[in-house]
Amino acid sequence: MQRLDYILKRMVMAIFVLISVSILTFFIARVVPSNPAAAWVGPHPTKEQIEKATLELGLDKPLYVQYQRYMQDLLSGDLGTSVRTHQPILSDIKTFLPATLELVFVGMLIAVLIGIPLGVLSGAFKGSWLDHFTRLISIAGVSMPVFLLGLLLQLLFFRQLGLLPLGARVSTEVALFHPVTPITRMYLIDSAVTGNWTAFKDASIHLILPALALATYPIALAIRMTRSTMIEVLNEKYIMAARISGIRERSVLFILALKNAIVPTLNALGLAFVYSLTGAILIEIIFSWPGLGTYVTNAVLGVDFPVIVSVTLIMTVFYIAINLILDILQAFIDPRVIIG
Amino acid sequence: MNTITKDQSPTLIIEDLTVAYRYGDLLLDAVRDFSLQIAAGQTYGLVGESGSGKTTVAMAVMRYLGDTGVVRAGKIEFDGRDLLSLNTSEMRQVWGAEMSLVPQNPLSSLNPSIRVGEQLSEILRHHQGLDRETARVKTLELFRMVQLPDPQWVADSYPHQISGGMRQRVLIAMALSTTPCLLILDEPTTSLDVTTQASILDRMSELIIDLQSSILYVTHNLGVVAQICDRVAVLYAGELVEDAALEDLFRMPLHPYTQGLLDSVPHLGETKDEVQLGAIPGQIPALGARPEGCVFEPRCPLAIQICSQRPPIISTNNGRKVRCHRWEEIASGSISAREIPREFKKEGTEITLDQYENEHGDTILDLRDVEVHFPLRRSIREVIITEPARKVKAVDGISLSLQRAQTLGLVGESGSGKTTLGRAIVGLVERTNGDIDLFGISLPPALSRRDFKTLHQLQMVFQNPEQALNPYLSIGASMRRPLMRLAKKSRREADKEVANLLKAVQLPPDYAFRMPNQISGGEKQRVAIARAFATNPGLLVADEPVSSLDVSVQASILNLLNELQIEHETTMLFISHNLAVVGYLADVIAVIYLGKLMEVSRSQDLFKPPYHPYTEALLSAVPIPDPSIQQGRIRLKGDVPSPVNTPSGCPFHTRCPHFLGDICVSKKPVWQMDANGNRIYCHIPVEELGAKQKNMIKQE
Repeated sequence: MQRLDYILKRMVMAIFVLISVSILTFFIARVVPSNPAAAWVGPHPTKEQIEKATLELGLDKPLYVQYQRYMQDLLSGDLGTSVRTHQPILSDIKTFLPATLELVFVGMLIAVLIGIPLGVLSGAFKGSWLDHFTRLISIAGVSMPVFLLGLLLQLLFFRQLGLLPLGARVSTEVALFHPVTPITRMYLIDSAVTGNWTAFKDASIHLILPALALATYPIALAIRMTRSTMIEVLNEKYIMAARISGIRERSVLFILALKNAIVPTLNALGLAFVYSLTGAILIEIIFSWPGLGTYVTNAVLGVDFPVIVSVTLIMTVFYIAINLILDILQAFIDPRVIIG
Repeated sequence: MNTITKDQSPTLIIEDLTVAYRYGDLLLDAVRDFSLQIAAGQTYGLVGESGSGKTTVAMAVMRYLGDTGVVRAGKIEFDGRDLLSLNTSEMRQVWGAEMSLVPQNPLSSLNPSIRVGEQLSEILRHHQGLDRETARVKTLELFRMVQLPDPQWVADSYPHQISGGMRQRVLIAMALSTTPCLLILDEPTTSLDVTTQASILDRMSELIIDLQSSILYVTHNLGVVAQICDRVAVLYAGELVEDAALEDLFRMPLHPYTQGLLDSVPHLGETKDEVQLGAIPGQIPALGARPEGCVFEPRCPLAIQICSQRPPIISTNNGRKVRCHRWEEIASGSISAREIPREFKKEGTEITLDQYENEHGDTILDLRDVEVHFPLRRSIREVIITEPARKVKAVDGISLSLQRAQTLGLVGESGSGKTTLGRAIVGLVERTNGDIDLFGISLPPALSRRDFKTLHQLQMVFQNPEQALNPYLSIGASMRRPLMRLAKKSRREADKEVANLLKAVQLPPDYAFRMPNQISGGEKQRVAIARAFATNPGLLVADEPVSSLDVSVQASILNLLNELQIEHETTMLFISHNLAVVGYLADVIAVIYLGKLMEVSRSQDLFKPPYHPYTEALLSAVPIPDPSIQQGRIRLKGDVPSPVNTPSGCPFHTRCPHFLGDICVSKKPVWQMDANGNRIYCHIPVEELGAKQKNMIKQE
């Protein structure tokens, strides 16, 4: 009951944030000094063309009317049209977003599976060789530029060892002879659902290097944060109480202690997740990954406001959704937050 | 309490144990040459103040000294095995199964994110190989054994959802779940209220007899020891100073420290007019600064030349042990550390409460129907149906008055609202209703709306001296602030005044230049008291000023407060959970329960019938540090109700041992007056109450 109330409250708050952000992004986009009508028409516009475009786009109306129209379109699933490519934004995003999501999901999964256990162990065995080793990994992970890391990975696994492909989501043969039926446009899911195992295997192999490059920073983050909260939690009395009631050290570390230590790490990884949706542009470029980062960067360079606003809005939705999921998860992991 | 000491081999033998802690490159001994034997079924009390090493001994036996603890010498034999030779994985077979611990702080000792029942089931599954189903059944059974109400509900709760008493019962159930042969109890009831403590101790003594386990009971509380132990070892600064059977120790302590310890706690019913507390001067030496000779020598009133050499532990008659050069003289009675052997200073003044109030005519503080209600956050449902927020009724209509130079003791258990009332008077929380008059002038609820003159007249001493002083200001600077800001003194005058104040609280003048981290807890509390007296306030609110201090230091602070108060004619509101301390220091005592007053009495009358049924229960629950005293036995059911849904009628009716029936539920009681003018808030006529009640404390 208390838990339900907590979750409902979080949801109501999320909706409020969503509305405020939609207003904010819309107005900022309109206030920035540049002429969307001019961009819409293309290079070297005439005065008449611009005036016509202004009317067509409704730019002569007051701002609140424009916002109202914008929201109406938005709720009916229309994100508007790119002023640069004159493509509906929704269809652009439908192709770019799943590619990014797939990459980021796998990257974060790797971060959780590697970073958290390493963090637990280095916290439990503070000062041991393992602790020093993970510190090295995390310093390298944080400080090495991601393009360098990407290039090094390609050099090693493609050039030297010839184990993994250089880039792209699938190889040309697979794209031609075993094409993935687009459902969610996340290739792993689509190929698995349709039983296209050749494509599944190929897509997986193509994911490894970019996902690893993407995961490096979150791994480092997860190790450091988990380590420090674990050290704190392991000093708690209830851990002593559990140990001297004879419970196995493995259960003490990975169940009793981790349950109380994992929440800050999950929150940080949630932030990293949202950041990577557009922040992974360097990885997308290096691995020729057709993702959202590349898309939005081009939009920014071309002053394509409808795209910028739409992507911002989508990012916000993701951010709020991830936060909501984390809050709810937290209510199950650490029930004290409910009353807090 | 059992008295089984058959000639079986002892469960636990500790011989010449020395434990040190590592500080950088230094190894400092926390416990030196400690020996002890616990027979099967025996309950052994290990008594000492903070820093005495009692917890270190317990943890050494548990083989859980942390990364910095080192056993430097000695032997620990448990059930015939050399415990110190076992490695961690071998200890894991012993831990929980053969030896278990009930830790001190029940909240921090339970995993906050795991359901309570699950935490116990896990131990059962691990040690007894039970499956989930059976472990659950056994868990509920154990919860019933420790008398937890509604075991199903408790098992499915998280630690923060149940009360402190329930948590401690859970921990006891966990420790007993595998019927260990040695049970270590580390201050298991220290953080609990007296009434809760009493019922837990009762249940524990019954279980001890049933289980036949050996018990090491670690505590600083002599009262609890007197109730539950067969034998007592007294530790001071890491050394065993005395070891004796319970009755022997209390009847005739042989070590000056034990004597001092027994004299430094006020006994229930003793008042400042009758008895002077025997404070032990000085403080416990820090870990690196222990004397070479007898560890107690710097504080011992009986110290002579020879005491600069370390005394050996000496076995005397009846299997007693003592570490003192002069024990024979003490045993023969020719010398004693009890300088003023609990003599009566003067006869208690036999005037009634109203006479007393009239005599002291001048009313300093007047509270009328003071209320402090905190609104709770509303749930979604409550917001939707626009239900007003529920309120925590911390203080729920209290009327009181304090006369000049009077000490009013406000006594109650945790959650009673005593601290909130004190804070509402000082202005740290804002009252939601009612009036507070100081010197006949109404005080605004908010601190920011009060003028300098009021702030000047109202000062407070807080519970925890560690947090009451700004760590970045020197002692002198801390004390100067109220003098310069409130009393508008110049820097020179203020500095002079600081020196006087330090002298008044018996601290050397150069303490003005020290930082808070360079002085001990007792000294910090002295500074806090000096600061409170700096502006010569009309009213001092002292909120548990001694409860975080060691007993040997407590006495000197209580004596100090008393002296300063007499000298400055200050009126004092003394808030405490400790009935003996309140009874000692206060002229008038107000008993508070769920934000309402239950009784207002002259302090010497509080301990005699008629009393309010709640006072009666409190008195019977206080552990008395004297095994020869027969105490009445009244135990309250359950926990204090939530201050959100306070019971109707008389707030105490849900737990009252003299519950009458409907009238207590439906009607609010009226204030009645007994023959001595003391006021009791109860439906039962005072004469009837008096007839029903016995004297709670009887000397044998």
